[in-house]
Amino acid sequence: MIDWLHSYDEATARARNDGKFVLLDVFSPT
Amino acid sequence: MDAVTYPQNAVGEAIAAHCVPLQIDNSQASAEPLLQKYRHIWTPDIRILEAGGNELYRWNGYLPPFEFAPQLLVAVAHAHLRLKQFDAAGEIYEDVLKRFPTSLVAPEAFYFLGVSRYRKTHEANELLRNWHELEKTFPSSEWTVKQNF
Repeated sequence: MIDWLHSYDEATARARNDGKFVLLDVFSPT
Repeated sequence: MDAVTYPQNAVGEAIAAHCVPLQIDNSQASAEPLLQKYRHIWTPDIRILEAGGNELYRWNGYLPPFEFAPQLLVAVAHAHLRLKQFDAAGEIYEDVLKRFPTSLVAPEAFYFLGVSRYRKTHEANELLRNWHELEKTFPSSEWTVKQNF
């Protein structure tokens, strides 16, 4: 199960802290 | 993607190993600044960003699990390559070719494996040997066309 974040700022901060990239998935609910 | 691709272990493992996953709903007004920032136009819209927000790779469109996993790994490898982390890039390209040799993205991995090695060593013969193998293995690939110069 993927633990998706929904905040850009949180994701980039965590990526910086963990030494990872951000996987950004922009989706449409329809 | 949420129903079929993301629940598969190979996909989740590839994401967890290299990425912090961020999902944005393009119907939400609060998402508009991000959609403008990245010139979003169509979903699925998948990007690899460095921590500072710079986009290092992107693609549009649905992929089934055993195409998504190698595509993601190639995207991550390309991100390393653009950051001049040649060993990290090469290791991931090699992993893709070992575990997903018939994937749609395998020719791209082959092409940039040669690039990552060349950018590290500047051994032109190594690059040409790699690309010759690419031509033999994937003769009709766009990446075979692109290695002709």
